[in-house]
Amino acid sequence: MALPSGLAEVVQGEEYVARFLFSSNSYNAAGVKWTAFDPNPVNGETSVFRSPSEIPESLWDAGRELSRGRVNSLHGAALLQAESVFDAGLRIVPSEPPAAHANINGWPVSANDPAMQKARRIELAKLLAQRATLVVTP
Amino acid sequence: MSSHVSVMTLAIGCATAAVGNWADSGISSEAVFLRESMQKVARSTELSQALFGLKASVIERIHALRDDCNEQGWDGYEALPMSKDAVCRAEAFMRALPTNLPMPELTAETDGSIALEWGTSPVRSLSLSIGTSDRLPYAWIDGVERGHAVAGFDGAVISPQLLGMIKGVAERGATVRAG
Repeated sequence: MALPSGLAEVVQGEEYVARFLFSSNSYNAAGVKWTAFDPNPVNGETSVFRSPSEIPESLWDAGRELSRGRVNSLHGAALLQAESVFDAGLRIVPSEPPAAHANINGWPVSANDPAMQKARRIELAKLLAQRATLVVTP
Repeated sequence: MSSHVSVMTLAIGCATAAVGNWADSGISSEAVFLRESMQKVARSTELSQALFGLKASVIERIHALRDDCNEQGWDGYEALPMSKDAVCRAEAFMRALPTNLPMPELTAETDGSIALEWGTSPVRSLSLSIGTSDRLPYAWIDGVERGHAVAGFDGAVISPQLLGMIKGVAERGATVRAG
């Protein structure tokens, strides 16, 4: 069973995902910052796009399209292998349209201790950032 | 000098907001007055000490970051504006940070908090999140080791355990030192 984009419904570990970066706050000279993967405070998910190991021009176009009407323009992307996301105990769930879009979810949730929940979330985001490659917009 | 004046003005704004909160919580007016007086003395001391220069610079950057991240969606997604409460707590944390430790890098978080980062290498760093709570989440990566914890912060004293973690990461990888 395939998605409208033609991609498989289940994300495989050898695939890559790209997190588009629209703020210089998300990276520095050393690479991708953990805050690049900080989940959306509204839905608790991190929006990504499924990609080959090299981000194709069509995907950059999708990123530029997303930046239209937003506060900042597209700076680049944090690219990492899906396996790294799974290793952190997180999931990647396809969510089309747009084509190839997916969400990283499964971030720790604890109503009893939000501070500890957040500490765990930071640790996981740091792990993703450590394994991600910063790719500047061509 | 103008930057010091700017920092002081912003700091007084934070103190005024904090006193308002304490007053609401039922703490006596004498206690509020004492606290306010102590803060004024502390600020006066800071401005007269050369050692505070690096800290003042970080505090200025905190306010600059807030200016950059004061609109919903500043990250291109749905990030919340940086919270004024978080800015005040981050400022207080910087005042309490011993001057023999490196100064942190700053990063805005999507939930309106502000992250202080020591050791920016991908393999060795500690990230402390300052938001609207007096419980501060932090996490670290040190080679193959990693972990997370929460430190209490009353606005004046940083827990020895957290200071030890910062020092440990700093000694093995950070750069800027105060003093």
